[in-house]
Amino acid sequence: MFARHRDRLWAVAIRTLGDPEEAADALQDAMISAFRRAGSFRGDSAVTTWLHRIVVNAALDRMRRRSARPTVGGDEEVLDSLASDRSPVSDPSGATDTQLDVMDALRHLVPDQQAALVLVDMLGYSVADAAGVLGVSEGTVKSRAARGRAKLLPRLSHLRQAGPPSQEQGNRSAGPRVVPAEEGGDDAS
Amino acid sequence: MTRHASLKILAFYIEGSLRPRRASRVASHLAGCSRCTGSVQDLRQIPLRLSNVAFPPIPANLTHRIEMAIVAESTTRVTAAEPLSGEASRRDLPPRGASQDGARQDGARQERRRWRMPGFSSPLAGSLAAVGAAVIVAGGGYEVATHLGSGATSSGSSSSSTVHQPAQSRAAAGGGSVASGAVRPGPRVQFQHDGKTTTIFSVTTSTNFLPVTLQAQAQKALQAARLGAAKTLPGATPAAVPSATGISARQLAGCVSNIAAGRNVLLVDLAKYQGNPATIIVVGSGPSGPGVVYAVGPACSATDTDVLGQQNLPRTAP
Repeated sequence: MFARHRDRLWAVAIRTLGDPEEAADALQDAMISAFRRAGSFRGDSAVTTWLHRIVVNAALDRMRRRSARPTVGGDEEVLDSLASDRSPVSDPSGATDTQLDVMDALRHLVPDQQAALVLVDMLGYSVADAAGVLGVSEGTVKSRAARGRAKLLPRLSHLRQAGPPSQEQGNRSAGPRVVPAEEGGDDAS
Repeated sequence: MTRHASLKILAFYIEGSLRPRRASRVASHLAGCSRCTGSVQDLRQIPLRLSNVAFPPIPANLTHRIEMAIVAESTTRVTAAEPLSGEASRRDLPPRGASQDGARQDGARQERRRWRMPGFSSPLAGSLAAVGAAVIVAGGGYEVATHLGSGATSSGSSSSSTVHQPAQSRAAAGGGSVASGAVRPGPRVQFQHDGKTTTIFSVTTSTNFLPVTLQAQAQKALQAARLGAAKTLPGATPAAVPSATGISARQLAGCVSNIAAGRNVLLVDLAKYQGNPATIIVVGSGPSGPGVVYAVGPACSATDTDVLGQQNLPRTAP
C-alpha cells in the first residue's frame, strides 16, 4: 500500500519542505512511525487519510524544528539574496513560478497555513479531505487557506502570473498590480 | 467609494467565509473598484499558480530505502499482518470537491486493537507484510500459549507470566507492547504428537524472516505469539488461511505434521522468508533438546517438506 500511495505522500512531503533530502527523511520517518503505530490504526477508517496525516505531521515537525534552529540564518540569507537577485530581472521568460520562488514565499507563512495551502491549492484536495488529514474542521481549513493566500500574494506578485496574459503587459517596472496599501511599492524597488 | 478591502478580507470573501452583511459590502465595493477586483483575480489565481509549480519526483531509491528501514524495524518487532479488508484500502483521496469522506476521519480516532492485525501492514505488503510464509518452531522449552486443549484458546503455558493476563485486562496490558501484541490468530492446525492429535493456532505476523536472523526472529515470534494469544479474544474467529499463502488449511496441516515428525509444534507463523511467502514452524525436540525453526515454502505438504531454511534454537531459561 505504501507503493500505491508513495507518489502522493511524496508530493505532500516535497511541497511542504521543498528540499528533496528533507522530504525523503520526513517520508521515511513517517513510514516507520506508521509501521510502529499500525496497531492503533482502526481498520475501517480510510488508511489514505491516516497515512497522509502521519506524513503531514512528520513534515510539519521538521519544518518547525528547522524554523526553531537559529543557525538557519545563513540559509535564510542565501535564499533572500537569491530572491532579490532575481526580482529586478523578474524572470523575463517567466511564465511560471519556480519551486524556489514558491518555497521562499511559503516559508513566511505559519506552518498551519502552509499545510492547508499545500493540500488544498497545490494538490487540489477538497477542503473536507484536507480537514480530515489535518484533523481540524473545514472552516479552519478555509480560514487557514484564505489567510495563507492573502499573505502569499504580495510575495508572489512580483513574479509573472502563471495565468492568462496580464492586461498590464509591458509595464512591469511600474510594479505589481496588486499590492496591499500598507505594503505599496514593496516590490517596485 | 468605500474603503479598499484588505487582501485577507478579499481572500475570506472568495472562500465564502464572510458574514452575509460583510460579504455584500465587499461585493458592492468590488463593483466599483478595479484595484480590489484585480486583487480578487490574483487571489483566485493562487491555487493555479501553486499547483503549476514543478517539484522533483520521488527519488528512485527512496522506496527501497524506506522498505529497508522498515525491514530493520521489523526485525526488532514482530507484528502481525493482515490484508486490508473493506474499502479503506481502495479509497483514495479524491480531488477537490469530490467526496466528503475526509470529514468522517475526525471520528476515526485510533481505537486500540493491538491484539488484532492492523490493516496497515499491507501498505508494505509489496515487500514486507508476510502473509504467506509459515514458520514452525519446535522445542521442549518453548511451550507456547497458542496450544489448544479442546478448541478454546487457552494460555496453555506455565512458563511465562505474560500469558496469564485475564481478558478483562487486555486493554491495559496492551499499553506498552505495541508490536509484540499485534499478532493475528490464524487457522488451527492439527498435528500428531505423542500419538495424539494436537491442535495449535497458527499466527500471522508481518515478519520477513531472513537466513541470518532466523533464530532471533523465531524467538521473537514465539514471544509475540505468547503475548498475542493472551490478548486474543475468546471466541475470536480464526482466519482462514490467507489466500496469499496459496495453500489450503489441509495442506498446511499436512506440512506441519510432516515437519514435526512426532515432535511438539510450538509455533506456526504464516509469514515470509527472504521476501517470499513461507511458513515458519518451530518444533521442540524433547524436554531438554533445542528447538528447531524451519522456514518452509508454499510447496510444503504431507509429502514434501520444501524446507527453505532451518536453525536450532537454544533453550532459554524460563
